[in-house]
Formats: sequence, C-alpha cells, structure tokens
Amino acid sequence: MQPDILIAQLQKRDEKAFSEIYKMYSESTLGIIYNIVLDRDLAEEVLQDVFIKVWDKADTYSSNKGRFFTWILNIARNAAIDKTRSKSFKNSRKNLDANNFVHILEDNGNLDQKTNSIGLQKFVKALEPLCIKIIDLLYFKGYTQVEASEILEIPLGTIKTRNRNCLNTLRQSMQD
Amino acid sequence: MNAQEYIASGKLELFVYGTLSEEENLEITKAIQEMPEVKLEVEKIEASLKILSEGVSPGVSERIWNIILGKIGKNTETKVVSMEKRTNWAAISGWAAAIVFLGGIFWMMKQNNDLNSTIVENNLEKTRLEEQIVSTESNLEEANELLTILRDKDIKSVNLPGNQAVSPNAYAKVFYNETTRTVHLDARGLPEPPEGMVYQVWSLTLDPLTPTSIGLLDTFITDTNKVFVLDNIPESEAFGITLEPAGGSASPTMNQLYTLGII
Repeated sequence: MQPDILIAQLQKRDEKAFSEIYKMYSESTLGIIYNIVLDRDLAEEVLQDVFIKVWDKADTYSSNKGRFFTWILNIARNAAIDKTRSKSFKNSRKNLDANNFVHILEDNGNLDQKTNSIGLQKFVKALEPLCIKIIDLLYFKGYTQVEASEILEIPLGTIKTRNRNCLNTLRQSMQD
Repeated sequence: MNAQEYIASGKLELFVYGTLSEEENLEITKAIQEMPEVKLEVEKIEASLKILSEGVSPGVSERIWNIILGKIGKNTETKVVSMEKRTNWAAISGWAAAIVFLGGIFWMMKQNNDLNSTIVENNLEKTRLEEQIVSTESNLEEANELLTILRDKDIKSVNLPGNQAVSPNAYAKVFYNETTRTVHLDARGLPEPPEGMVYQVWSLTLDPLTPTSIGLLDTFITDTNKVFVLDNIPESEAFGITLEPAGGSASPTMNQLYTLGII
C-alpha cells in the first residue's frame, strides 16, 4: 500500500503528514544511503538532505511516474552518490567494493532493534553470491541492466529474471 | 502481456528499483492501473525491499528529525518572510503611489480653488474698474456738458459774493441763460448748512424789489460738485441765496442772506 492521502497532504506542505512519511521511509532510506557511503555520520547528513528535498520537491512527485518509495529511493541514491564524490567523503574513503548490504547486515549493531531483521540476516546470508551482487548493484546502487551485465559478466537478457528469482527467494524466506 | 506475464517478466522489480527506461516505466504504470494483480505484486516487492533496506540501516538517530524540522521550518520561515517582504514592497509602493496620487489630487484641487478665487477676485476687480470707467466717463460727460453750457454765448456769468454781515467768506456763481431760462448754480463757496436748514435760491427784480423762489438746494450736502441746475427762471436782475428752514419759505429771510449778486 502507498500512503496516497499522506502524500497528497505532504504536497500541500502539511508538516504532520511529512512527519508520518518520515517515520515510514526514513529507516529504509538511511539503509540505501549507508550502503553507498558506508559512514553513519555521512549517511545521516545525506538523509537530512534527502528529506529536505522530499519536503521541497514533494509537488513534483506524481503516481504516474512510479512508486513514491521509488521516488525517494532515487533521490537517496543520487544524494548518496553525490556525497561519495565530495571532498569530505574522499578524505574518509572506505573501500566500497569490499562492502555490500550482506556485509552491512552482518556487522549491523542495529539489528536487535528490529525483530524482523534478525531473520533477515539469516535469509540474506543464504542467498547465492551472484544474487547478492545483482541486488546490490541494481537495487542499492541503482545500476542499469547494461552496467550490471558488464560488471557481473552475465548476458543482458538474463539480468531481469535473475534478479527476480533472487528477490523471490528472499521474499519467500521472509514470508515463512 | 497479461498480469502473470508482467509478474514473471522481472520488470516489476526493476520498476520498484527505479532503473527501468522511461518507456517501460509508463508501460508498468499502465499495467498497475489496469491489473490489480500487477499492482499487488508491485506492492509486495516494495514491502520486501523496504524491509531489506531497513535491515541495512544503522538506525536513524532521534536528533535527525529535529534537524530536518528545523531546516524546513527555517526554509518555510525564510520563504514566508521573503514573501512578506515582497508583499510589503508591493503594498508599500502601492500605498506610496496612492498617497502621492492623493497628495497630487489635493494639491491640484487647492490650486484649482486658488485659481478660481483669483478669477472671482479678478472679476470683481474688473467689474469695479468697469464701474469706475463708466462713472469717470459719466463724470467726464457731465463736465463736458457743463463746459459746453458755460461756453454758450448766451450765458451770463454772475458772481454772488458773500454777505459781509452773515457769511463774509461765502460766495457763489450763477450761469444764467436767458434764452433757455435756466441757471447753473455753482455753490461750492457756501458753507455746509446747519441741520434742519436748507439753502433757497431767489431770482430778484430790483424795481420794485421782488424775490421769486427758483429752487431749494436740498441735496447740497450729498452733491459732490455742488453745481445745481435750476429751470423756469423768470426774468431776473439779481440772484440771492438765503438759509431757510427745511422745506423752504415763501419769502426770503433777509437776515439769513448768504450771497447776493446783480447781473
């Protein structure tokens, strides 16, 4: 379900609706950002920028263009990638390639706060290595199918279905 | 494609990732609107990705929301302030223009009033001057008339010196036209008569001494040039002026004879 009423209120610059939207999406958004910048303070800085942009640009969102979740996701990824190009990020550079969402999940001290994440850690670890890479590149990093197929050296035509199968495995284990 | 084909295509996942092309994005949006199963699948994908992402989050600090709120508050405030400023400028310039405009109107109204009253004053002045011209012209006319009369060959000029016993300094002059039987009397040399009294002019024949009243100078005080015209003068040999009670007398009061002159 998409909180259409809240989104409409947000577009009318209703702070209460904005607060609800923030509660719904801030945690997942920080996850996306953190997966790219790999620094909690920087990630939270980016999160602020993202939600200020959500507030300022809310009227540019239209359900005809896609999901609200996706709209925020795109803002977050772009802001996080911008941050990785900034001076402050380069000064505290981390090795991005060595990290993906699975490593983060393994290290995550935040997990005990969310009961469903404990199971999640287990399910993610059970994913095939290729699935982890596909989901990491396409979803978390926002790569195109062409870029992903080049990096992973798998045929372009199989990217979509591979990704779907990987995600389905995860979804099914989450439902169980 | 039917709903199942869409679900199996793998496009729905990429739709939620936000990595589809614009064209494919529109296609899926349409499919979601038309097929409830597709919509449901998209929502499920979104929900699982949300959970996955939340799992990766290091945990959002409480303070972040307050920072955001402070910033958007500041932003909205600045916006409001700047908007107010803009409104104020418009209003201020509007009011300023209105005030200047009103001031201009009042100034022009005052100018108009001043000019109007000047016109009124000038008109009054003009009327006054016109009257003066008319009266001067009529004075001139009178004077010319008088001059014409005095130059008439038929005129006899008679001096009426003052009576030593009554008013030694008094004098008068009579311009007597026997043909028209009129007299112009210049009475400037007479003193102002006391109240209740009036000068009476007499025509006299000497043998026998017969006085005939030819007129009362009852406008003596108000008359400016003190020249009086008297008509129907009988045959005369002398003229005299006496002071008589108002209304005049039938015969002259000889002890109040001011002037007397013989032709």
